[in-house]
Amino acid sequence: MIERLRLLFAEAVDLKLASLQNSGMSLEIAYIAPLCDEKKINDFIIVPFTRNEYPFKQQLDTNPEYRSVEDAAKWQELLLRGSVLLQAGSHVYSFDASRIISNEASPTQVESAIQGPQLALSEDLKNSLNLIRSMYPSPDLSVGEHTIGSISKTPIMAVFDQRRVDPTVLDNVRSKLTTIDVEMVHAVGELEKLLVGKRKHLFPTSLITERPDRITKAISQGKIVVLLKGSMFALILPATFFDFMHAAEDNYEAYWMTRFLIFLRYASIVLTITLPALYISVVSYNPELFRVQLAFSIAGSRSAVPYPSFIEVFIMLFMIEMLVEASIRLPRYIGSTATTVGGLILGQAAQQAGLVSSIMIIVTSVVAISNFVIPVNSLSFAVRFLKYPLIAISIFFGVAGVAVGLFVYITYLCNLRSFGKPYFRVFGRLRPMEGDIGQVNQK
Amino acid sequence: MNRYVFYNFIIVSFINIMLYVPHILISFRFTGAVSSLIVGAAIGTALVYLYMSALARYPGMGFPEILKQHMPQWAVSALMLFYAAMWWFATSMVVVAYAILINRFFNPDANSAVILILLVLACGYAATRSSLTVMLVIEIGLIINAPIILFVMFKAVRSPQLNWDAIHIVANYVTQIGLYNTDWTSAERQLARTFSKTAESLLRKIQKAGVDPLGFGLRYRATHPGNGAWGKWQSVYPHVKFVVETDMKIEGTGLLK
Repeated sequence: MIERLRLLFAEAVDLKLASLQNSGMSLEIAYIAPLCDEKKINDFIIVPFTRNEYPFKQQLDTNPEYRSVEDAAKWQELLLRGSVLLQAGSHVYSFDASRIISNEASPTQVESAIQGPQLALSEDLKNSLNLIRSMYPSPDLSVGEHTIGSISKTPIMAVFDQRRVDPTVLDNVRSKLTTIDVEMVHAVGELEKLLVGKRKHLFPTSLITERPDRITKAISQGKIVVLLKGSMFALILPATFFDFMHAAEDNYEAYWMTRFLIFLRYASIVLTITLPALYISVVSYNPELFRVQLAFSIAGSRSAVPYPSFIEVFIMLFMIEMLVEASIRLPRYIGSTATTVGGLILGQAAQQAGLVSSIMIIVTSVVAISNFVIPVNSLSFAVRFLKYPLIAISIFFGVAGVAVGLFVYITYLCNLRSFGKPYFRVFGRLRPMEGDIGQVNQK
Repeated sequence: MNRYVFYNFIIVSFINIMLYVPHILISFRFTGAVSSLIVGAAIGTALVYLYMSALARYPGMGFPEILKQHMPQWAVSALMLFYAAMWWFATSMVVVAYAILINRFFNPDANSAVILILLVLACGYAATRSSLTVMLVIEIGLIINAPIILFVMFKAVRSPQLNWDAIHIVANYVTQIGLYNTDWTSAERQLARTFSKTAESLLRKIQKAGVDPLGFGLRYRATHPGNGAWGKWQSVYPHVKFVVETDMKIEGTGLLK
């Protein structure tokens, strides 16, 4: 039985296959450790077998808990549900030792869906694997174990679907995991930086998530998930730009509404990058772009401002960045004060004092709000930086400079590779099959 | 055939909408431009088809690798240098033209060399990326720009200032194959000689009347210093011999504009 199971299942470090001996008989035992309650297994199988006070074979026959399994095709299903398979002689029995922790698991803290599953991974690897295996009950799920950190010796599990995964990415990740040389690893973000290597990327190339439904969906698409002990977040790699724009609840809501929301997110990314640069271009460089009435009204609102438009833009953007950074760290009690300060002083009073124009206030607030429409935090931080080079180039070249700058951004994005796969392409779903145009061999 | 094959062709078509091709077509519109559109499309398609089917015999190999299979290394290097120079000329024409366009319409006060440097830097960065990156950039660029370009063309076609009569007249020249198969040189020379004789007789007539409306005397006084120049000119002018050399070039045949 053990040989057959070894062939049937993918190479998984949590599938325990053992052969026990006592004075009377020999027993082969197989179970998936995170799905089972090991105490139960100990009490009901291991201890009676080794003590052998009553012949274990008699127990197998008389105790209704041990069900005899005739059909060998049912083995994988039983194992994946958390049962233990025993073979004594030529008979195979199953014993239900499953452990369901869905009611104990903590709810999601960072990403929440309105109507989807509310579970989050836990900080213990075993519970996490339990959740993942119960959501993805397939024998092709392979679990590999590594240890990272010379002092912290943190165990790491790499989970993937053996049949669907991309072998080049798998080799890449495996070789990286074995060659990482660092003293301590405690957070998934650190691990991500170590996996990416020497290149300093602006955009995140792997996804950090705490939702098991997102993880199992990624596994079914052929990606690799890395779990770290002590962290309730997991790392999904490779990741493309479109994975970051896709919130988890897009699969649970109505089709056209999610399409509209995805379009809204892309529009807000374009707005948040280009709006300050376009303001400078239209006001100072190419006022003929719009009709005369709009050009007059913009010039009228700027009549009290004594310095050129780009200084105004820098002042307002600096204040907004300070506000956003401070609001991450504000204690709860001062939070409302900060919003009052931001709204009244930075907005109204600065405009009335003649420091900024009213149109600049609108531009700044649109830029700040549309930056946080992006569902994933790491991409949101990357995008916050992108507007500054465009401002610089629009100061010197105007609208044409903004167009050239956007072209350079698109080229940079298309040039990024996430573990060998292209990061940014129009039909963005990663397809790990051969012959796809994105098959590249090197990192 | 992959869709990426067509992207290169489409992007060059879009570039040529506003680059040198319309100007050339318009200046030859009575002498074979219309028929060249049709013949060129047919020949171009045949050449592209031949090229693609030739490339298809070498799957996964680029141009230098294919040549290396059949030619020695030094020949391949020389040929690649030639192609590189050829493509450099072609693309630098496009970049310079766009820099001048941006200078004229968007940044009239800027130095066009500065705009050119900006474009060259941006294009240089993009061109030195891998082929996969360039293909993805072309795809995304087309998807963003094609609606805008098509919209502008639609507005141009539906504009009330478009002269449909002129288009109909030029379209009638579709059977004109152009000047290339007729040698006008002898006619040109003959016409040149006739024109020279006419010009010389006109000049002699003016000379006989004793007037100088063309200003030869002014030129003489400007180039001959001294107080006696005007008197000298007055005595010389009735006996001057005029020689006219004409260089005649036939631009086109057809309607007078």
